[in-house]
Amino acid sequence: MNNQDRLQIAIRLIVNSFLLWALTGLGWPAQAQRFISGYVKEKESGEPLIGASVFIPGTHNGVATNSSGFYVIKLPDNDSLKLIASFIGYRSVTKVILPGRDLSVDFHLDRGLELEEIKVKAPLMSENRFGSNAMEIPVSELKSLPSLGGQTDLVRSYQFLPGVQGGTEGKAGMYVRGGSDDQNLVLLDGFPLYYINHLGGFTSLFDPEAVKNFKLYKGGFPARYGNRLSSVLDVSLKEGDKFQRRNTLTLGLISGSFSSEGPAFKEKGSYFISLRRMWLDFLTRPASYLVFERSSIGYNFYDFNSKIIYQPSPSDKFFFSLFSGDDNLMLDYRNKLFSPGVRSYQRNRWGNFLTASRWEHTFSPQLVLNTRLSFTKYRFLDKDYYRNEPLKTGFNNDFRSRIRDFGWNNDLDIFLSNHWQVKAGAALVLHLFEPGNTKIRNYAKGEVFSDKAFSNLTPVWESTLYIENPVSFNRLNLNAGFRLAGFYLKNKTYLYPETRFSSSLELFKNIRLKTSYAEMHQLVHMFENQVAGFGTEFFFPSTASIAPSWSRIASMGLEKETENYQSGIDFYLKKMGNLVSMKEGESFQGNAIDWEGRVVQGTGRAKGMELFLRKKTGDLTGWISYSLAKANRRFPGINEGKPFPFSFDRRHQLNLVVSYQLSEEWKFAADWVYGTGYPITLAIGKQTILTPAYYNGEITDLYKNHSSGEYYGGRNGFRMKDYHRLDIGFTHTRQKYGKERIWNFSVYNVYNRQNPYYYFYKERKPWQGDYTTELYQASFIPIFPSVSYTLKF
Amino acid sequence: MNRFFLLLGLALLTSCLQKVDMEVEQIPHQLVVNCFFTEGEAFRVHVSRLAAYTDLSDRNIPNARVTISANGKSLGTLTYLEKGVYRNPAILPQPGKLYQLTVEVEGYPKATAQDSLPHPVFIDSVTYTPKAGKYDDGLDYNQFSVWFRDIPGKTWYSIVIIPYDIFSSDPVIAAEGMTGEDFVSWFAFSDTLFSNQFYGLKINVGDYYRDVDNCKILLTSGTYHYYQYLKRLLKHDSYSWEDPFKPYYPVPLYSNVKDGLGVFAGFRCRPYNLDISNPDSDE
Repeated sequence: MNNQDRLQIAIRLIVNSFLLWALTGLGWPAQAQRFISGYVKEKESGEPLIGASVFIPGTHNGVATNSSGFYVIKLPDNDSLKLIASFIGYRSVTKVILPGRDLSVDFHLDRGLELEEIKVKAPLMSENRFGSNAMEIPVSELKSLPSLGGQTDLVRSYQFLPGVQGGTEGKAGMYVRGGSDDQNLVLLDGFPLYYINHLGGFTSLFDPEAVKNFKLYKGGFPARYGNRLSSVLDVSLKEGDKFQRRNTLTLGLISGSFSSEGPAFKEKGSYFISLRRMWLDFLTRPASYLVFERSSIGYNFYDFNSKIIYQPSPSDKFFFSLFSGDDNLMLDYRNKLFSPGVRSYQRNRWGNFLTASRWEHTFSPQLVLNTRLSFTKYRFLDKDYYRNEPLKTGFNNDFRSRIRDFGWNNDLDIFLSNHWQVKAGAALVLHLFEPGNTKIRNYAKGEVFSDKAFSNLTPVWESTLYIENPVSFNRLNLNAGFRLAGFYLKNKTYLYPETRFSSSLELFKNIRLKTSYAEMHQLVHMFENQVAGFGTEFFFPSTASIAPSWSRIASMGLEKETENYQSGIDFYLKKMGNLVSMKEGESFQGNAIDWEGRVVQGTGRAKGMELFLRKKTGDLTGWISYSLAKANRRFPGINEGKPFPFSFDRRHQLNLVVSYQLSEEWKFAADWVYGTGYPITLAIGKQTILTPAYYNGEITDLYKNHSSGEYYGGRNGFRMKDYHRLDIGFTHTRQKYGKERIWNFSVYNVYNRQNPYYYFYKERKPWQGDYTTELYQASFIPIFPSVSYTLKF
Repeated sequence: MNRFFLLLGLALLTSCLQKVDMEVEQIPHQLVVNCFFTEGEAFRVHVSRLAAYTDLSDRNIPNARVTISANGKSLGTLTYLEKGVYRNPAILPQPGKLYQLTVEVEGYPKATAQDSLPHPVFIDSVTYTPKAGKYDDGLDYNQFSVWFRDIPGKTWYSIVIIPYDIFSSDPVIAAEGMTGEDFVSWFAFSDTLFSNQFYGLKINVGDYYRDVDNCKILLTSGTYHYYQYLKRLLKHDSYSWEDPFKPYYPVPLYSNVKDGLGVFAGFRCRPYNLDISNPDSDE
């Protein structure tokens, strides 16, 4: 850290301290007041409702529940008044608060439509009034959308939101506002995961039956989030039914899931477990065993979620979570495919493991502490075995890549008034990186080859300090935050002060002007083993010579939100630096020697406009969104040092999502997506090259001219054909004998659009001397119907 | 993993291929100029044009004006021979001079490039080990250990062993991003891992070349442009043909030709003959 860095940190500390002091000094009129606090929960299950509004009717005076469903509101103590709790999809509950002292008041909301007309005004302190670019669609609404293979996927559903790209079939991911897939911070109950997509991105690892809330931030990140450049996906899992045991069984064409929830600890707690497994291997293994003569091929994945909550007293709540999700790929080859006595198999496994505990302690309604301990592991294993009995030889090749994180986080929620709630926290994380370890054993020679140059455990400490100051001045809401991120390597320390700011100004009734600015830094870099579609991710940390990447995101927009509708327009500009790529012609996998010398760091820019219109209530719900975007990258030595389009740069994207309740039992849903084709690198020309030739004694004859060279023009200089697709689905729900049965019928890619996967050239009939060269397109998933059955009992 | 995806991909893709009629970007109007030069051999320059991918017509250019200069002074022009090749037997490269190449063709931007000859490298000795190891499938391979002293300063090399396709797990080759499974005609490498040292480079060849009694080892020193061109050329594959598992990005060819494409680079090489029927009797 040089003097300039230190000066920058000092200046920012002073500015933020001043801001805090200024806000502290503002104050509000002092009067006799008391605190009303408690939880807002679902009546049927006791599940806390996150982001529910608690307010005094007819005013904006109100608050929103936090991630535990907890609220606290300050009220005058000399009047009796009404307090309403409301949440989308639930009937509001009104309670009369009599004059007196501090009170604990819980609200239990029933699912369904409002029985009477209640004018719900978003409370001043609800998060969506602070100008962050956060989007949240209720999970219950997402679950009715059409699915691929009978599995509703929450991440795929969010790809219909403006500013979010999903890639293409086989290369799906989540690309937010020109950012790459590794730039998303994915939090499961507040704990980070490295890998969120199963094979090819066809489905994510979030079982929809286990998820309670699903929130995506595209910009204006609150200071509590960090260490990723482009987005935050905050996923909360269900806590489990507090009153009765419930089970859910879902069977799809290629996968199924089971979940169970219920009370625990004599109604002082609850549990939730869910297991989902893909069973494609149950079909492919016996089939391939028969077809390929005792060789077999199989693929499966599983996700396991469990959560136990124990609340021994009103002020203490303990959470224990365990998540494990893996993809498994198995290939077995036996005798007849090769020759007698030969056996070979390959195993690939990759996924996350997370175990965590959280203690939520309420010192007083105004001061709540959350302490979390976590262990996260990402691993990728590749095991190749080959044995040739007749030749008495064989080999065993193991490749392993993994990261282990040990985290300790502390978050304080400080309630100062109905207009000012401070959040502050500190965290310490130990990352143990082991990006690649290759071990090869040759049985015949007794040799063991190890490539450990890139596999040494690299410990990196990460520290975080942050403070957020959400304040409300009636029409103006501000959240000024500051985050100090530190990365401590063996020979290098990186310390970054980060400014976070978001605001919302109510210009007219329900119309707000939103602005935000965020600075982010990212320690972890990712390379994909660059094989189209089925790339394998390798994560590695910054080093003394490879600095953490950074981003600066500014956005501005207008938003109008009413009870029934939400609409908005956003403009954003994002700059990124210290992005990582391999130098032209270099590859990552295979060896590790001098790998840092083969890496190059560059910059990225993204800008765009997003439009969004959503109908939230009624029989007909859904949204339409449009994005106009441009994103590029620039690396020294790549594309002659000139900027080139980001691989998932999409100029126009239009999404339409509709859900319609046809009758009490039948529901129809459809989505349609249109997007400009992604850029790829395609040969546009041919050139003569010099290649080594057969040596005939003349040195200059070492090389000869050959006509086979390809010329590509600029990187990503060719646009594939536009992408569009329509999916439809019908859901039939019936209650019978106390059980709920749900049939889901979906058709993916209804009109069988052949969307481009990649392009290639082909000579027409070379065997007949016709070398006319033509361009071809390969597509991936044609029309794909599916069905699933869910039983809740 | 790829075998699984190959089967899966074939099943899904075979019905999803279609010929498309799309406008591919116009190629720039540029010359392609190729010349590797070495001491004692006259400059021989190949001139052609960049052509559209679907263009099947002859690309060689017979009417170019090709000029060689040294240290800014013109040495003369080269004469057209055939198939795009230009040569002047009187202009011979010499060490210590910086050569400039200029190619002018009417209707094309003037292409220029410059380079010099590197210092020479000499093989000290070669150790040949038959049946030095086994492939994964149990077949034997033989190994050459090529000993030489690194030239002072930053240096670049290539190696060819005639008549073999070669592969190597040597750290120096691995550091260039090549794996022990890459069978190639040559390797290009830098002295990053053995700077100013005496080094024995291990190169493997298959044991199935039964009739070979003599081989030639061509350890070549080259300039940076020479090294970059050959290194990129190794990974420059036929990217544009049908392959669902192709890398995200192809490897473009290296060029040091200004306002054109191709390469103009110097190298030096002294072949080393080895009788492998009797490995001790080297030259």
